[in-house]
Amino acid sequence: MAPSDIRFFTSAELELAASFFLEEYNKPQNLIPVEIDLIIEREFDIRVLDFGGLQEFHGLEAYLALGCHTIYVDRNYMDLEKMERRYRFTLAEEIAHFILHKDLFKGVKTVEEYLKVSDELSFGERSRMQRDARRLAGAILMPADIFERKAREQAVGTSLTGASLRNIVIIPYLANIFNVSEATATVRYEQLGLDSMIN
Amino acid sequence: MSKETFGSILRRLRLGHGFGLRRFAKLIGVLPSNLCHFESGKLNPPQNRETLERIAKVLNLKDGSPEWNKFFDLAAKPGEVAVDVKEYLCEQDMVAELPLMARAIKDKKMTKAEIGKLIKDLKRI
Repeated sequence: MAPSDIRFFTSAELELAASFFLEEYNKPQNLIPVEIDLIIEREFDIRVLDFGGLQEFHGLEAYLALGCHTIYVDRNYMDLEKMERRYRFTLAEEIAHFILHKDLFKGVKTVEEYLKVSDELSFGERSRMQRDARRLAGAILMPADIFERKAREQAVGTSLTGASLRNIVIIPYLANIFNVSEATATVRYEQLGLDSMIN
Repeated sequence: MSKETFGSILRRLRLGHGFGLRRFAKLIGVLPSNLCHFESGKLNPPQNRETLERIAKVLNLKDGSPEWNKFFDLAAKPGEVAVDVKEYLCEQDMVAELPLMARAIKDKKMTKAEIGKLIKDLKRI
């Protein structure tokens, strides 16, 4: 895939891709939280390796290597308890890049070729690719049907409404169930239009 | 067929039992990065009997079974980098180790100098 062949995806396509992914790899079915590091290693045969100082010295949290056999993760993300949710989302985002963009650097053999392809990507294209990967990652970690059902269940029997209901009652609960950050759960909540459905 | 090492058997059994890296590390009481290093052969296997037994139990190995014995025998032979990793370190073009799409802290492209630095550090892993 040369940069000119980059494909962007609609929300519906990304949701569908997540459904296929979960149906195929999340075993037993509907297992929540999705054990993303296990799926990556077991189903894709991609190693997850720690990289000490990846963030500090290279400004990167994690990345999928071009050869698609390894995801390098900053050691703190891997080891620190408080980073678990970011670790999980980061891995989901990297596997999303694998699914969506693995051919981007196909045939690249040298650093010069790598830089050339990289330079041909505009800021807008990179942003869109990141956005697609993040959307797919969110849909993998927070399957739409279960997410919506859990949100509705949690909303029952509370006197709170609107933003209070969402921010105090629903989002922290969803973040715990799906083992993601509250910010990530909030994005997903909005993507699925639950704000207008649950009040 | 590649020769089995402590790291390769540990990884095979872990994945076979459906344990993700981080969950398994927590169960056996080691840091996930150390588990990575045990599996890749970068760190020698734990030599503490208690730790090895804890790992064996989580992996449901029966005391005295051939698998149990193999697991403990391999743990006693430290210092071998897992064959798959060794081959991979020797043969893979470093370009294959560069980021497909880096999850960068700052949303910017990497420069040639930055890539050079990354390759240098990758060689140390």
